[in-house]
Amino acid sequence: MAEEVSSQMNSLSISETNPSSSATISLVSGDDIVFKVEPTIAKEMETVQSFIDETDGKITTIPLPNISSHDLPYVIEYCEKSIAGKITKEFEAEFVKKLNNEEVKELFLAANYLNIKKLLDFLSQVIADRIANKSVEYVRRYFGIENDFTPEEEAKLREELAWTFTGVDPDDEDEN
Amino acid sequence: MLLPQELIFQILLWLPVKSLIRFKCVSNTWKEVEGLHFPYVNRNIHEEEPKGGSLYNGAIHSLDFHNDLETEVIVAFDLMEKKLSYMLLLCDYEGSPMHCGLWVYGEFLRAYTMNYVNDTVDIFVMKEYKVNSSWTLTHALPIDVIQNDDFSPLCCTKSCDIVGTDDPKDRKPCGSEINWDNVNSHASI
Repeated sequence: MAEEVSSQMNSLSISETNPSSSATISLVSGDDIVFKVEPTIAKEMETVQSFIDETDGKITTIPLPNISSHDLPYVIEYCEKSIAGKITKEFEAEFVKKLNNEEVKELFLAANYLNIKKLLDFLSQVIADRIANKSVEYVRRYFGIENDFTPEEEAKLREELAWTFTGVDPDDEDEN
Repeated sequence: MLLPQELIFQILLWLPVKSLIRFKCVSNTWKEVEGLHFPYVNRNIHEEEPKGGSLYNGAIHSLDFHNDLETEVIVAFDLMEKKLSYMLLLCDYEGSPMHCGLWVYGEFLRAYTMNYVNDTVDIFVMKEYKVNSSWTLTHALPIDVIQNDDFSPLCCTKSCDIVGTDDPKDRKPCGSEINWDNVNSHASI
């Protein structure tokens, strides 16, 4: 993991040497790792950008206590692709392939906190795709939701909606 | 990792309708997600055997469940006006239509349904488009030669025999072909 982060930081510091770039922005993860990014990347993150705007650009170090150094590189990678106009189906497929269910949820929260609409929509679709064919029990576990039906209520509802219970994947207990 | 409820609901918006409705069984809160009210739901969505709509009169017709009326209706999507409307499926039909389908043939919109009271496949014609009272039974064909409940008419021969199949996944008039003339029920259109 530490290696991944440092390689990510290397690639970012290379782009930093780009002579056309203005002052870089330092994003500080919750576990105090500093990620230097181009101002254009920061623009993609509405929360960060509004923070910069409020201080007239004087503050360029932004603490992101809710986001870990594990998640932030993914967010930055997505934003880089986004401003380069290189968000393709192939990129998105590769991007999520690396992520397990917990990571997708963490990134979803990060995207929500940073207010990155495109990433948020994309991850919503990813989570929806992952649960679409799953059982009711799986979805409860996935989101940590307590079943507050009485057994009778649930049985009745399931009977009414029986037609929606076809084609459901068997639960995979290994996930999560 | 727990997501706040309002964020979970954002995710639910991306689900296919069938999953969304199944997940009403998750909890009482999920059951009440009624910002997601759909007037019509297609209950025959089986990924393995999707049924296409029937094109007739510039509109695509499909059989869908009307959530408020709690019955199957014919939903028409007008391709020019891009609007949905619905028609009742058969008027005064005893019992709820089971294993029914739409069939456009001979310039009329028709419907067929299994009639388990009389053991027949009933074929109806809507004599006047969008006039619910114009549904007329044209044929009641004996059911006993059909191996399963999935009969659907395919076409009509020159001698006016109705040819159908009892294997809708394989919409070819072969093997499972039923020629009503052979089963001594001459059905003319």
